[in-house]
Amino acid sequence: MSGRVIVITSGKGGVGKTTSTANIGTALAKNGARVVMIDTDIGLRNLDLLMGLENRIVYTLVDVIEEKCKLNQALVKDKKIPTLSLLAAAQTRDKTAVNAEQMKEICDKLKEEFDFVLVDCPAGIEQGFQNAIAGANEAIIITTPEMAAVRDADRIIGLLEVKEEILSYKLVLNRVRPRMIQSNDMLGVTDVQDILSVKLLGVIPEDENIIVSTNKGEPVVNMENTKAGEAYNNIARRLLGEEVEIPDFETPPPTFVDRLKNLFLAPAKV
Amino acid sequence: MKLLDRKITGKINDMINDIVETCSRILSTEAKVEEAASFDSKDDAKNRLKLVLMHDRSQLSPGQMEQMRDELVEVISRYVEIDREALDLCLEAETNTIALVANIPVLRAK
Repeated sequence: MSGRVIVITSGKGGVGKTTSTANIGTALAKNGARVVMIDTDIGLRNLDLLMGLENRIVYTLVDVIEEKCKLNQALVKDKKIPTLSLLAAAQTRDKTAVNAEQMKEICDKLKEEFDFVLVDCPAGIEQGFQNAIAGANEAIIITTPEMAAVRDADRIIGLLEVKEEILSYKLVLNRVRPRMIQSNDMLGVTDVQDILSVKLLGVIPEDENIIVSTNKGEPVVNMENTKAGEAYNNIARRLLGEEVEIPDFETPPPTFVDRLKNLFLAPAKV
Repeated sequence: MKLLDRKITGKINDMINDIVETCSRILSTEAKVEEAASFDSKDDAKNRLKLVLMHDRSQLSPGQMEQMRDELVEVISRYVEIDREALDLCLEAETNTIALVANIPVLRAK
């Protein structure tokens, strides 16, 4: 049985594509799947850093394409999970070192051996994007509740729609701040869904543990009891076909002060 | 009130501040304006996004819209006399589609 090739894309930079790739990949592997992650951001690679594998990279995606090594030689195994591998991007080259056809060929080879091939897409809609989506059958669009990110996500959705090979695409809303949504200062989950009309795969709350995990080179799903880690793990379970409810981040549980406020505000509403 | 504030610390202090803030928000109009402004921020984002996405999705620049308007006026004017100034042409979003909506006041048939 052939594996699933999923491209993780966003259009805008800095919304969490690489962080999401690292965490969804790790979470899928922890749930028993065989996973390979490909960093296609040639010249600006970072997935190795987030996985803490930066010192183990010998060969890259470009080396495989230029036949300087075999595909299997370029796969770097994760430190902890034996079923998780990384194919790193070359740091000293640029996006023109690879073309869409070559990317498709690599994805096709990898999906014979792995259950999931996660492709971390570079920002933008140029060749790097076209390369990243070339071999994919599914897409995960990452966005944040900010105007620029939502606009770019819409553009990406438009480009994915015309690509027949991509059978399904789903949305992950990242860096959600429940308090700001509640005070109507941030676009909410339903607002973004309303605007983009794409099926929601998950919602990741803003979490400082992401920074800590990046510092350590350890995906946040490996840290215990973190909000973001739990949300990423839920995404992995949904990808594996499990029914996991998306928690309501728009109405956080009332604190003592909230309840007191409500007591004061209630008569004013009448 | 200020004297009391000095004596109490931590959560109790925060709580009283919250209550004072809440009460003043209900009572003072100035605070209400502030609240309304913060309410607008999300709605602003949503409305602006919807508009910009309509143009993005239709792939029409404001210049092209202007050109289309002029050409429409030219064609329609061959058949009926229209009020060029009052002509209204805009894009409107429906659930998943975009509609081009034109309101063209006809002065008289030619």
